[in-house]
Amino acid sequence: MATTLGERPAAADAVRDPSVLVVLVARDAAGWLRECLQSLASQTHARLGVVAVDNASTDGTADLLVQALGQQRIIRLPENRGLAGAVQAAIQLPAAQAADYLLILHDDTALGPDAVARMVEAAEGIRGVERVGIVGPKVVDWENHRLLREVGRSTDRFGHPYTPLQDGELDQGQYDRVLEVLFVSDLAMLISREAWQRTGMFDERYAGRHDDLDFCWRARLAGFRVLMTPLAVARHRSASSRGERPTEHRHRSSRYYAERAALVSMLKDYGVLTLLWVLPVYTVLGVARLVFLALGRRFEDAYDLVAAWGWNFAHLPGTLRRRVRAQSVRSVRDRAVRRFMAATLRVPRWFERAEEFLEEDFESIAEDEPTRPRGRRAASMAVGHPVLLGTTIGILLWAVAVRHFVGPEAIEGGALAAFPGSSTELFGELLSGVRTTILGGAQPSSPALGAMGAVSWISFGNADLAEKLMLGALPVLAAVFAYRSFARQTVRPGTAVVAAAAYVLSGTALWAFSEGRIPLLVGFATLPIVWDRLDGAFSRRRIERPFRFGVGLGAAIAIAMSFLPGLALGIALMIVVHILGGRRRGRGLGLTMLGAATGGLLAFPVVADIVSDPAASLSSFVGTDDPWSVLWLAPGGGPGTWVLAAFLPVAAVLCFAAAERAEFGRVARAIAVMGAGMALAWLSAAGYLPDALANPPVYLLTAAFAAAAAVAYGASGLVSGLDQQAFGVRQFGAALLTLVLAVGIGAQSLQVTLAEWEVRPNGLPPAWPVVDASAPGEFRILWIGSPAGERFPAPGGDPIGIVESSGASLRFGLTDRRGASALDFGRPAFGPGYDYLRSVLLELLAGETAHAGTLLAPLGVRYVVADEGDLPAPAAAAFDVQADLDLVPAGGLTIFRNAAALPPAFVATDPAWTPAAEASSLPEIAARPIVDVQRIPPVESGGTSGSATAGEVVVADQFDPGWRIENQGQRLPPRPAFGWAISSEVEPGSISFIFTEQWMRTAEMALLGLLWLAALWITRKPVSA
Amino acid sequence: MRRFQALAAAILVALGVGGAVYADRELGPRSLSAGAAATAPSGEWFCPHGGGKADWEVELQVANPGTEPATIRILTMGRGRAEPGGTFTVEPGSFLRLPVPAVGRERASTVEWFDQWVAVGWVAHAGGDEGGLAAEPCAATAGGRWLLPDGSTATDVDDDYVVVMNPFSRDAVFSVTLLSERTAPVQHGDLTDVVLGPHHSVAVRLSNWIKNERTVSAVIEASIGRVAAGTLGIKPQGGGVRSTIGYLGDPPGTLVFPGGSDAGRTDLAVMTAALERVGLSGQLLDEEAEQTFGGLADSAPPAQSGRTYTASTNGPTSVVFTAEAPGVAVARRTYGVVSDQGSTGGAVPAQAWVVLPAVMGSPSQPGLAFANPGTEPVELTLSYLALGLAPESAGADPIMLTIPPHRTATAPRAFLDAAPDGAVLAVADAGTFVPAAASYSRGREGFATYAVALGIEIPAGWIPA
Repeated sequence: MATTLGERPAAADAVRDPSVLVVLVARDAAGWLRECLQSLASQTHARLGVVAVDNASTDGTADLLVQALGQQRIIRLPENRGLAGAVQAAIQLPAAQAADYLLILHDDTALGPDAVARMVEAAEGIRGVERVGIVGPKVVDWENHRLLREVGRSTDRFGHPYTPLQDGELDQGQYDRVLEVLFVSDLAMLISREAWQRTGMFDERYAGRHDDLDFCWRARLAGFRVLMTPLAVARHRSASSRGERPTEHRHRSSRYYAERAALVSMLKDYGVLTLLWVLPVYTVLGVARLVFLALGRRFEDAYDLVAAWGWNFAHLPGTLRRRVRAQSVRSVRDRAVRRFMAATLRVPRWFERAEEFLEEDFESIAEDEPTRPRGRRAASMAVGHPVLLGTTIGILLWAVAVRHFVGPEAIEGGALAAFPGSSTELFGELLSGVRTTILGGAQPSSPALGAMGAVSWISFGNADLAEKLMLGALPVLAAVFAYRSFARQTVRPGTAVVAAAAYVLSGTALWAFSEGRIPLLVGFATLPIVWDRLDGAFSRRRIERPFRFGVGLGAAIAIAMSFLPGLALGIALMIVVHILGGRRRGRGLGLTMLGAATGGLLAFPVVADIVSDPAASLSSFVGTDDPWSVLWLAPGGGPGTWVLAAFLPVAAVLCFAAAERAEFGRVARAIAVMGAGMALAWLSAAGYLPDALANPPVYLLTAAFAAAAAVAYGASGLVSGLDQQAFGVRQFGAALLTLVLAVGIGAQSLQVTLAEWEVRPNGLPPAWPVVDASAPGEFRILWIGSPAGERFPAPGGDPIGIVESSGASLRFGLTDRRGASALDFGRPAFGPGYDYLRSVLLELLAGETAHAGTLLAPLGVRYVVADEGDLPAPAAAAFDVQADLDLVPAGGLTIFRNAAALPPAFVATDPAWTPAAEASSLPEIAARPIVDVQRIPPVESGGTSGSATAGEVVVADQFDPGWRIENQGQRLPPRPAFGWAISSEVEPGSISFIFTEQWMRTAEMALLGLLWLAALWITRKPVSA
Repeated sequence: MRRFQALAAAILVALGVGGAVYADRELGPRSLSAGAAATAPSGEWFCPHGGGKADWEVELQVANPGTEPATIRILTMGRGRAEPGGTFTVEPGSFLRLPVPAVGRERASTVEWFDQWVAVGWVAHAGGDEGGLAAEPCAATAGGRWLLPDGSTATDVDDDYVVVMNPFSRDAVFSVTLLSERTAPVQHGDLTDVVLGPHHSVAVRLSNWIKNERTVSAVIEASIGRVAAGTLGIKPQGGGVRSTIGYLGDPPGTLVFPGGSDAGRTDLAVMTAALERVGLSGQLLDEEAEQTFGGLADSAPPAQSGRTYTASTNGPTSVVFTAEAPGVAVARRTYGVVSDQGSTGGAVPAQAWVVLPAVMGSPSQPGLAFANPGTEPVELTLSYLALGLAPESAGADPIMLTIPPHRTATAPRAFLDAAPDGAVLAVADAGTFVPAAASYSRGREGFATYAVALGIEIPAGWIPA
C-alpha cells in the first residue's frame, strides 16, 4: 500500500526527482486514517517514502499503520509528544536525514494525487524563486471540497495568526496562484532538508499549537521562502476541532495558546531593534485587551491572557536559548519578514468581530429580505445587510458628531462636569472616608468613580481624553445595546437597526450629548439592557440560568444608578408597567426582585444616599415645562430638540396602531411606558410631583427608549411578509411609518451633521475668566437662576435645589472654583451645610437682609454667578441691595463678588471670632465681626497645615464627629461651626486633620469590590472557543 | 383587533395633544409656595454727609422704633483708608447720636444694621465762618444712577458739592453730568469715568465747572459698581449749610415736601434729566388753605436742565410737586428766619415714619411739620424715641395729632419741648402723610441755625404695633 524509497523500482528512479519522506503523525485516528493513507498511496511523485509516528494511540491506529506500512516504518511513542516530538523522533531516522524533503502530514489530512509532486515542483521548479524552504498546499474541507480552509497564513506585528479567509469562504479560484506567505500550516508541510537542518525543527514547547508559525518564521529568518501552491490540494478533516478525536484534558483555551505562541515567537524571532518597539506596544495593547476582556466580563479569557504571559515569563531562559539558535542562522532583516505580515488595519476582521459582538447570544436571526431583482441591487444590499449598512452610516454620523473632539483642545461647556487630572484622584475619592468636593461631609462616593477611574487610567490620566472617550463612546454603546436588545426580542435586525438609530437620534439623546451629560448617557446605554432583561423575565422565553439573569439585571441597574441615581425612577416605571402588563408575572416579579436586590447591593452607597435624602438623590431640576417640547422628547434646547424630534413618538403610536397580534403586548407595554414617561416628565418639570419623584430628563429618556422599543416591535411585525400580501391598510401603514422614520431620522441626522454642540472646545462663557482668573486659593461658587428647568452656564452644571419665596424663586447650585466635578457623579448634595445655604437664600429672597455675602461667607462662597438675564426681577432686586455682594462687570454672566468671603478653610486669630464660629443662627452669623483670617489649604484626611498664632480653625466642610484636629500633640474633637461646619480652637503650630472613621469606608469599599467581583463572575461571558 | 388598535392609537394621540393643550393653556407650572419669614434681617444705610475743616461736627443719628435691639456697625470713609466707627446696640424705642470724623468735604459713612430695622440720618454742624446746621436721612440703598437736584453757584460765595461715596469693596467707576438753567450740560473728561476705590468717597465742587447758576443739578451714573450720593451746600459768612440726599433712579411723579417755620421763601430746585420737556405743577398746603404753586403753573423746563422755582409762603407750608413724566427730580430749599438754610428731598406719603431731629446742641427749638396731601384727615400718634433712653423713661407721652386734608400741621410745642433732641415716631391710624423736622438750634453769634430733614419711612413689616 505504501512504499519507501528503497522499495521503488530502479527504473522509476528519475535521477532529477528529489526524494520526499512523508512523516505521518497520527494519534487516535482510526476513523479517518485509512483515507489519509490511501491518498499517500495514490501520489504521483516518484521518489516518495513514508514513515509514521504513532503518538500513543489507543484506538487501533497503530495496528492500521502496521497493516499499511509495515512494522519497521512505524515509530511508536510511549506517550503523546505532540507534533514536534513526533517529528523529532522521525528525523532521527537515516531515511529522514537523507531525504531531500520531509512532508509533515497530519493523520486527518488527505492529499490530492499530485499534491506532493506539485509541492516539490513549487519548491524547485519556479523560475526566479530560489531557496524555497517550505511549501504548503491549498487546504479545503474534508467533505465540502469547495470550502477553503487554508491558503497560507500571516500574523500581525505581534505574532497573532491571521488568515485572509473569511468564515465559510468558497474556493472560486481567488487564491489560485502560488503565494509567498509568512507560514503554512503543519497539517501538510513540505520542508527542504537544508531548511530544517539549518533552522532546526519544531519547538516542542508549543505543544502542537502554532508551532508552524515559529518554524516558518525561523526558516524565513534563515533566508528560505515559504510558499503556498494551489496546485497541491489537501483535504483537512479538523478531527480535533470536531471533537472526533479523544482529546486529552484541555487546560486552557485557544486564546491562551495563541497568545503564548505569539509572545514566544516574537521573543525568539524578532531582532533586538524590532523588539525595542514591538514589546512596549505589545504591552500597552495587551493591557488594553486585558481591560477590554475584563470589562466585557470575559474573565476566563482575561485570565488565559495573563497565564500566557506568565508562561512566557517562566520559560524565558528556554526562550532565550532558542532565540540564540534562531538568530544564529539569520540572514535577512526583520523588515523582509514583516513584508509577509498582515496589515495592522484589518477591516474585514473588525467587522467580523463587530458582528460577533452585536449578535452575541441571539437566537436565530430572521432574514429580512430573501432576494431582489438585479436592478434593485443597492436596495437589496441595504435591506439584506441592515447591520452593515447601519453600522457604516452610524460610524460616519458619529465621526461627524464628534468632530469637535478631535485635537488636543479640551472640551468644555454645557453641563459637562470636569474630570479630575488623574485616575488616582478618582480612586482616591472612591476610597476616601470623606467627601472632598463642595461641602464635604462623610458621604460615600458612588461606585461610578471606579468605572471612571478605569477610563481615566486607560486614557493615561488625561482628563480631557477621558471626557472625550466617555462622551464619544456612550452614544455608540447606547446604539449597540439598543440594537442588541431589539434584535434579540424581535429577531429582526433590520427593524432593530432602525429603532436603535431612532433611539440615539431622539431629542433626549441629542440634548444629553450636546450638553455633555455623561450620567444620562450612561442611562441611555444601560436602559436597553434593563428593558431587555425585564422583557425576558416577563415573557414566555426560556431563561437558561435565572440566577445569572437576575444578577445581570441587578448589575445593569447598579451601573445606571451609580452614575445617575434618578434613573431608578425610570427603571421603576418600566418595572411597574411590566408587572401590570407582562405575561409570566410570578417569574418576572421574582427575577425583578432579585435584580433590584442585587442592584441595591452593588450600588449600596447610592442606595444609602437615597434612603437618607430621596429628594436630593433622585430629583433633577432640569427639564422644560413646555408640554409640546415634552411631546417631542426634548428636555431642553439644542440641536435636534426641534419639532421634527416628534418623529419617534409619532412612529411609536403608528406602530401601536398597526402592531401584529404577536407583538401587541410588547408594543402596548412600551407605549404605556412612553406615555407615562412623558406625563411624569411634564408633571416633574411643572412642579406637581414631590421632589423625590421629579426627574424630567430621566422620564423623557425612559419615554424615548420605550418609543424606540415600540417602533422595533411594531415595525418587525408590520414588515414581516409585507410583499406577499395584496396592497391594503397594512402596506399603507408600513409606508407611512417608513416615511415618518425616514424624515425623522434624516432630519435628526442632518442636525447631527450641522450641530454646534454645547460641549466643544472653548465652550465656556467669555466672562468665565472673571471668576477663573481670581486670586489663587480655593473658593466656592454659588450658581443661581430662575427655576426654568435649565442648567447653569458652564461650568456650573445642574441645580441642586430650588428655593421658593412668595415673591420669587431661585434654582441654585454650589461648586468649587473649577465648576461641576465628575467626582460628584451619582452623589447628591445634601446635609446641614446645604440646609444652611437654602436658609440663606430664603433669607435673601425674603428681601430683609442686605448681608447675604456675610451669610454666604461661611460656605466659602466668593462668587455668585447667574446667566445674564436669568435672574427673576425680584431676586435681582434682592441681590442689588446686598451691601456685601459687588456686581462685577462681565459680559454674558451676572457675577457678584462676595466682599465678605471667607476661604473654605482658615484660622481666625481674632478672639472675637470664637463666639462667631459657635453661632448657629443667621442673625448671629450676619452680625459676626469682620476680622482677618489666615487661609489654610483645603482639608483632607491626613493633611497638615500650620498656624502662626492661636486662634479658631474653621473648615467649611460638613461636620462629622469622626474628624479630629491634631495640634500641639493633642487630638482635638471639633465642634460644629455655624451649626454645620467644623471648628476648633488651636494653638500656634502645625494642624493636622484626621478622619478617624476611614477604616469603615475602607471596609465598605472592600465589600463593594467583592460584591462587584462576585456579580461579574456570576454574569461572566463564556470562554472563547 | 386592528380596529381597536387604531381607535386606541387615536385616543392616545388625542390624549397627548389634548393634555399638552390643557397643560399649556390652563394648568401651567405650579404656583410658588409662600416664602418663609425673614429670620436674619439686616441692611445698610449710606450717608454722604460731607464735612469741612477741623471745626466741623457730624453726628449719625440712629433710631430704633421696633421692639428688638438692633446691632449697628459704622464705617466712615473719605480719601484715605476707611475708619471703623465701632459696633453699637440700639435698644428698642431709643435712638443714638454717634459722632463720626468730619474733616474733608467728601466725608461719608455707612451704618450696617442687624436684627432690627433702624432709621439713620445725620446732622452736621459747620464750624468757623461756615456756621450752620444741616440734617438729612441717609440713603437706604446704593445704586448706579443718582439725581441730585440741589446745587447752586449763584453767587461767588456759594460753595456747593456733590459727595459721592463707594461703600463697597470693589472699585466704582462713575461719571457726573451737571445740568443748569443757562449752561449746556457739562460732561467734562475729568468728570467722566472717575474711579472711586473701595470704601472711598469724593466731593465734586460744582463751582469749578459751572458758575453763576441758581441751580446746578447733577446726574451721577456709575458704569461699574454702586455708589450713593448727596449734595452739600455751603454759603459761608452767614449763609449756612444744607445737605440733601439724592434720588436713586427716577423719583416718583408726585413728591411732597413738608415745610416748617421758615423764613417764608421756598426755592424748588428742579432738574429735568429727561430727554424731553416735562410739564410741572405744584400745590402749596399751609395750615389754613391750599393754593397753586404759581411759579410752576404751565411750566415745562427744557430737557437736561436745572431750574429754580420760587414761592413765598406764610407759616408752615408743604409743597406737592407733580411732574408729568419721569426723569424730574426736585429739592426744596428753605431759609431760617435769621440765617442758615435748609434743603430736603421729597417723598411720597406713607403710614409710618421716624423723624430724626434736625438739631444739635442748645438752645434747641425743634419743629415738626406734617403734610397731608390726601383728601381725608389723617390721625397720627406721635411718640418719642428718646436719646439713649428706654421708652418708658422718655420725657413725653405719646400724643394724637390730626392733619386735615390738603393741609400742613405741626407738632404741639409742649410735645416738642419735652424731648427737644429726641427722634419722633409718627404712625397714622389711617391715611398717609409726609413728615419733616424743621428746627432751629445752637447758632452762631447768637443766631440759631436752621435745618430741615425729611422723615424716614418705616418699611412695611417694621411698623410698630
